[in-house]
Amino acid sequence: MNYRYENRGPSTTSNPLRILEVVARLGTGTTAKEVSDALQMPPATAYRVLNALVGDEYLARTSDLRGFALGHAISGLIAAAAPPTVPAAARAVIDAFRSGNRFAVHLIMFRNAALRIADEDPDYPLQSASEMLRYPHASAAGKLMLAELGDSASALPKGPLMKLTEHTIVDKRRLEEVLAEIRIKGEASEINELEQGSARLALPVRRPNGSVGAALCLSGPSERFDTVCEHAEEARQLASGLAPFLF
Amino acid sequence: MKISVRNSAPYFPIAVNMLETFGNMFTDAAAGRGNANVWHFGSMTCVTHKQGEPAHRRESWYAVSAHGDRFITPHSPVEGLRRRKLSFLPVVAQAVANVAPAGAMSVIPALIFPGLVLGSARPNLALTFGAAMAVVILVSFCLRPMAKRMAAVSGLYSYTAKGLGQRTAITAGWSAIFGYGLVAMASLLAVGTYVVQLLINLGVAFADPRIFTVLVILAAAGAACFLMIRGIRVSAWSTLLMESISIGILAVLMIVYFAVNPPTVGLGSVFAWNGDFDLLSIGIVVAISAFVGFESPTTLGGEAQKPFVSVPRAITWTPILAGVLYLLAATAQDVALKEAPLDITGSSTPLSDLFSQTSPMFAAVLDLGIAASWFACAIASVNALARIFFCMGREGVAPRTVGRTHPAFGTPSTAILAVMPVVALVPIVMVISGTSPVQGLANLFTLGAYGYLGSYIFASASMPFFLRRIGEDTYASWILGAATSLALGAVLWTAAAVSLHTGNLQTLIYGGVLLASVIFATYLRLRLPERLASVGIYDETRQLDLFQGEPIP
Repeated sequence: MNYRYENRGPSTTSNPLRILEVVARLGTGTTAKEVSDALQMPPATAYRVLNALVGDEYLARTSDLRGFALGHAISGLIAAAAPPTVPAAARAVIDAFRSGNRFAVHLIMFRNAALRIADEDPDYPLQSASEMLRYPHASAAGKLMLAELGDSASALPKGPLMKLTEHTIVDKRRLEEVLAEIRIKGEASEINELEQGSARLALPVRRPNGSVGAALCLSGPSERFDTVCEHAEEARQLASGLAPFLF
Repeated sequence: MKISVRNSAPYFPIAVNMLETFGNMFTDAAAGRGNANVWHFGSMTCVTHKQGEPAHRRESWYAVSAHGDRFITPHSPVEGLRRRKLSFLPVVAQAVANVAPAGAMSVIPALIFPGLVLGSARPNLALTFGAAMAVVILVSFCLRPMAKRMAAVSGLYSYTAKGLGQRTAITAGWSAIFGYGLVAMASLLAVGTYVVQLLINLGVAFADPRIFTVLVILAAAGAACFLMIRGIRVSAWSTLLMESISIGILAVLMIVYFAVNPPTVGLGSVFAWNGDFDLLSIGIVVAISAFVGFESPTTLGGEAQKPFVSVPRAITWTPILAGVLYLLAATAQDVALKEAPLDITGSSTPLSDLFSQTSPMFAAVLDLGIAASWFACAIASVNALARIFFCMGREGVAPRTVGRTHPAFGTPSTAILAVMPVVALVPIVMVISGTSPVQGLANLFTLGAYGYLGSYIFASASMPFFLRRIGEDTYASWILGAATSLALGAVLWTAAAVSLHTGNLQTLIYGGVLLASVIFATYLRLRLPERLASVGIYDETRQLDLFQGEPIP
């Protein structure tokens, strides 16, 4: 990989990011000199940016004060950007369930009050996946997550709720009622709310402490949603079987 | 596993237990009782670890890495302090309070006036303060790079340890302690003087104001002690409050005064230059002493929330802020005092005397403001002092007991309790012995300024060496370090020369302190090299400051 300073052009916005990348690559104890050499960056610039990053705790100095390590402030970025990993054992269990049924089965994880697609059904790929991640109030998995959060407003974008179809819940009071219902039932469903013609059922995958950490999402055409729901009990067992592999 | 004898209570001297009991009296019944069995003995915490293994007991504190032989040390050498909880404003408050601009604004020009005979050849106040501000800003530029790289708990002492080495650091540390200590004493004396002045202005008659002054000093010392032990947040916020009140009062009164008594002297004479460099250089020395203390947030590196941002920012902006206030106040006072009768310009509380001409109520409010400022200054000075002393205790170059922290409040309580009686005693003795307040204040402040200047010289000279040691020095840092320490050296030299010339003992006293510290450092070098080697502890990066490798679920 090429870390040359000139090639990417000196830019005040990208310097900190490239420095973080170098420290992440070289590991704990990387010195300022090594950073400036790796990026062919003027040392004074490197020192300035490094100190700014240390100030904001994206980096931390090691005890000898010479070296750097990734700081705790960066976990937010990494957690938000890195795709969740699903162990092969968990995939195998999900695939076994998929092979017996004619509807989509997705595994969606909750992270920092946001949805992350952990395992998508290869045969029936997610439609409007970006919309689902962006507007949690419109999808079954999203509503399950909102119900799990104490303060659902923090996970929703500011302003009025987005109307994706005519069935999308846009009234905040109505949404609170639905979330209360989800908390009691322990599952969330959605028909034509995210996308016209499709429906989903989301079942919780629980962490050892009982909180919901992921959703097992069954999805099919709206008119065949009853058939999907017939498999709910089976899927619930799958969800509790999955939990030890995931958390 | 070796178990240190230090962990067993009977080995602590009874006096220390008494101190501890006294410290615990501040613990109200509810607060911290839940973890009353958690005792911080230095870096050792006598509780079982999370994993359930028996408490790991370190044989000695000085084994903790000041050497940086590991990237991340499992135990911080300054464990026990309440870590990374103090937001930016209290950090600035620590600096501003230690500078005590409101107090200094009103006292320092008064010190310049009588000290240097009044008349045609007195130094130009604006120019004097301007030059002093320039020197102090140079110092802050030297301290900044170190504050950005190291979360120091003992300020310039640990900077010097990482720059010029551990033996020099002992001298720098003693010098800083000397400075903080004397300014704290002076502050308490000022609190006493101004509170009594306040009551006199309100019409209270004293048969002997000295007894009352002593009582005020004792009360102030007790209150300061309580606030400092109760927690750094409490004490820092209260200093911020005090300082804002006093600056506000002073500003409003100045404006009102000039509205009531419009100046008849042209402003031109304030900026007139009389061409006397000798007077100017002495004036600069005194004016610099009005800025000292701006570096004290460097002792809060462990406790500040974002130490690498807030501490450098505080030490950069405090001298600028204080300098602007001084220039305004010096100009205003110059104008006001020019018209004033001679007995006022020679008074120890010239401003309030000036105001009491107009209205005694005015003067009383002003006295209140100034007393508040000095009270805050006493707290800030002892806070800084106690943290240096605490680090020395942890390192083993001061009594080990002062390296203990309060179990509930996370403050260096033993160090505070050890220091405070001395700090209170000196002004009390001065009051009882009948020293005039103006003379006492002048002596204490000037002596304190020596201490600060000495530590500034060491720390500024340390800066390029510090940076070279961690492989981040630049040409600019060498030039800046050299220029600043030379400028400071010149200032100190001027002060010493004048002091010696006038037969004043101050230089000799400070020289004696320096000599004693050198002897002590040499003794450590020869007899206890492992303790000397541990000098320079600071709040090191801990595991929890690092990216944990797994995303937050």
